[in-house]
Amino acid sequence: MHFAIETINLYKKFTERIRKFYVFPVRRREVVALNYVNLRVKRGEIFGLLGPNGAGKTTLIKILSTLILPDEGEVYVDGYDVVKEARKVRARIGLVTGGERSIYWKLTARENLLFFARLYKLDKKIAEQRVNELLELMDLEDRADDKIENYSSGMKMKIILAKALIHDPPILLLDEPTLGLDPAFAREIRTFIKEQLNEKEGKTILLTTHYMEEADMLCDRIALIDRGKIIRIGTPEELKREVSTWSVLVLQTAEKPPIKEIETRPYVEQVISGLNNGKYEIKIYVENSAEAAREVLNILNNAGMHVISFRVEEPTLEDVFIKYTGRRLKDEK
Amino acid sequence: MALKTKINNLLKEVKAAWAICIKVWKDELSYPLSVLYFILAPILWLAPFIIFGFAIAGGRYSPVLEKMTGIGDIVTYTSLGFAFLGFASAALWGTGLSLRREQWIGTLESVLVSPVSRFTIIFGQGLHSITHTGSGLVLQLVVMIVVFGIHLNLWGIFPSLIAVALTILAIQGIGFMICSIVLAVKQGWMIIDVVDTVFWVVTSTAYPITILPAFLQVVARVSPITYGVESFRGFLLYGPWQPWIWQNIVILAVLDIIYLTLGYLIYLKSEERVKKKGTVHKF
Amino acid sequence: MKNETRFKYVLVDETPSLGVTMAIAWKSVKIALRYPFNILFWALVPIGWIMPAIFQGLALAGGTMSAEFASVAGTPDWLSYVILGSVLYMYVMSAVWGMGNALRWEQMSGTLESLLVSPVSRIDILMGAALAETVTTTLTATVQFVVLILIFGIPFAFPYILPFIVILTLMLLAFYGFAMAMAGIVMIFKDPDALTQFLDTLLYVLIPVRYPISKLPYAARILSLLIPATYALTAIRAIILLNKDIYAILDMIIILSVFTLFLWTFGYLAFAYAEYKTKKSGGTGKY
Ligand SMILES: Nc1ncnc2c1ncn2[C@@H]1O[C@H](COP(=O)(O)OP(=O)(O)OP(=O)(O)O)[C@@H](O)[C@H]1O
Ligand SMILES: [Mg+2]
Repeated sequence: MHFAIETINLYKKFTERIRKFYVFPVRRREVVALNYVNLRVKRGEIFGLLGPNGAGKTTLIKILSTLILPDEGEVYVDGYDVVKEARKVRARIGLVTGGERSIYWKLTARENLLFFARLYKLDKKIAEQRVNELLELMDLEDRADDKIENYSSGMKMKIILAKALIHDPPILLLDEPTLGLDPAFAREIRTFIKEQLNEKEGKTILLTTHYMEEADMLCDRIALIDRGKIIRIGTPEELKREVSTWSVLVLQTAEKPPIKEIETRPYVEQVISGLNNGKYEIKIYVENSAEAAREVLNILNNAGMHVISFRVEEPTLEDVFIKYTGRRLKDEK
Repeated sequence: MALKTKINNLLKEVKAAWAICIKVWKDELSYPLSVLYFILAPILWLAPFIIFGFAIAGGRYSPVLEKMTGIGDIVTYTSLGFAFLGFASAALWGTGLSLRREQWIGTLESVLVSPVSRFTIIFGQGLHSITHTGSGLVLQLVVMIVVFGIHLNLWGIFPSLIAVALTILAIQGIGFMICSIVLAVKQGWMIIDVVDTVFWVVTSTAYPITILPAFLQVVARVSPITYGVESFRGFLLYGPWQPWIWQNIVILAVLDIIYLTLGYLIYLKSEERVKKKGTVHKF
Repeated sequence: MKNETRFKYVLVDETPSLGVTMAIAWKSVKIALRYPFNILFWALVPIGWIMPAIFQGLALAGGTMSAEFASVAGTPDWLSYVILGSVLYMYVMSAVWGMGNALRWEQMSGTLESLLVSPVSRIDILMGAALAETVTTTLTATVQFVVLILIFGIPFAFPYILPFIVILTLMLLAFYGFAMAMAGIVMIFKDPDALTQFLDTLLYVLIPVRYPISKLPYAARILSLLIPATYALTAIRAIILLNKDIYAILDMIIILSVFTLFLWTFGYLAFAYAEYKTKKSGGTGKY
């Protein structure tokens, strides 16, 4: 049996030309977007790629969907090579990427779906049937003959999903499917992905996100990815277990805290700091919360610093990421 | 006090506009092809008119043209006319096109909220097209003098610059009117193409305006470019001392005042409207 | 293992399907028709671009006939000559840039990847775009032609309609081959404004739009002979203005057919290469 998705030592480097004054490009900047990535996604699984901006998630999705060619390594989707058998791969995947602009705004929802059905060579009859089915599934039958430009973001997302489903592909590649949606709608989409597409229709789903809650709730397994490298792969529970002995101390201070000093204390594993509403916020990852808390508060007291708030939190998926990279998922400095 | 800050602000605007102008130049010159195009374009535009003229008149002299304009040499008449129109039309495009492109790409709104005032952007782009086509004009004339040996009156060069400057002023006024329409009306950018085409037809580049049908002659008589091109050609061929040329210059100056005032007023109005409605139309 | 040699796999493509081509074309026409004002605009404004040549002719010849013109063009009627040439020139230009512009439009509106990820042939995508463009420009060219005939009251005769259509189709086919290469260039360079303007202006000088190529300087004349439009325009004028029949233009038909074969091979390879390049650099979705 083969995997739904498999990459073996996948490597991709982008070269960007930075033009300078006068005629010829001079400087180049190289970015390794994927640094020897090995992934195996099983059939029927929801697999999440969780990583910060620029981690290489979109690049990976685009290579899987034949839109970008890899530099090195082998990539198989449903057993087919994405380079040599691109056509077969394309027929077996549904892709959601590039935000809400990937359908024709000047056409109606029905016209859009019928058009894409033609691209997947569905017979006219079957196409119409399938389009109605999808519109019903998305609960958009009564708006089907409205132009997309008059839709709300959530409704556009539904049509984009429907477009990806038009040929009933066994594998779905979703690049940030809930980006920019309001929370209620995002929840609706997530439930739809999990219950309808995965559990009921048995589709394999690879999705990228930088919301850890989304990955946690939706995915059977998660790969943490950073700067083109897979850091960790496992179920959300497995990953969280890796930091289960940790606690997180969250402190707010008015002045800049002496981070260097805190880092050298026993029990302290990682320190992350940043500004939050004009206050300094530090997150300290520790093994023994009681001991460590005493130490840290001592340091701050000695420095004559005023602690505005203090609390202890349970570790989350993001903390696994922090454990291995020392950086957060969102708002990198 | 107030005056001093005003002048300071104005200086800042000019500096910012100049920076934009330089940036566009750099963008442009960073592609080898656009450098080539920049050099060849003025000549390529002119070529069809010269060659066509030769084919029709059987040579570079046309008695019909001479009877109507006093100039029988097709090359002299046409190349001066085109040099000037190309220049004027670029000034118009620099102003209008900058907005059109932004609107097309859909980034107009972000430009409008950016700290640089949109006037500065328009001004900067306009500055670029003027310097761009200005050098094109010189290039074109040099080629014409070298290849076709047209004779220019050297004393006319300086006054001909007055014609150029006055025309650009009036065009800025028209540019502001166009911007107002672009900002306020759906698919307003189309107006730029229309206006540009109208100028293209009614300006006496390769033919005098007396050849035009009556209604187009009316349009030609309110177009500042008509007077600009006549005085430009007049100065360069006959020198600075012909009264009829100065008559054209006076008319041009009056048109300047009218168009600049009108343009500014209309622009203010439309800006107010846009702000009230809160949106800018997408293409 | 490096993938540098895998360019050939880009050529392992789906078989083209007429149905898909039609669907893509129909979609584009439908969208174009939702901007009806645009179509009217592009039909009427270019008429203004033709006008200066006509007024210049009047100012130089003093009328619509010129004996000097007859000695080089075979007909003294320069007005018909220019009108026919100009409308055809715009037709040619839309054939050359139609595909590239369509791809660019898809890229800017964000739908290009939706097309590229579907299992359809590249030929279908390109031909669909070309077909849509042909429909809309045939529409605008016809409007232009009719308006110009009405303005100047020229009695154009189409005594041999079949050879006219044959030549027109051949010319379009030849240019579609070239257009594929241009579409590739658009994919790679995104916004090749300078290139398109440059080629447009150069072609306008070189192909016989307003004057026969015998009026060109020697070197330019050689270049002109390398462009299929030169033959097409000459042949179409021979039919319409000089009342020649199809046998008189047989040589032109053969030359155009050879051009078509060559340009299609070249165009397809060039586009495949451009697609390979953009897929390598990851540029399909960006603009
Ligand atoms: N076409 C390209 N040309 C040059 N560099 C690129 C290109 N596409 C991506 N990159 C670079 O490769 C890296 C990975 O980008 P990618 O888009 O895959 O990240 P991502 O994980 O999807 O990030 P985000 O969360 O912002 O979507 C980034 O540093 C990006 O700048
Ligand atoms: Mg991404």
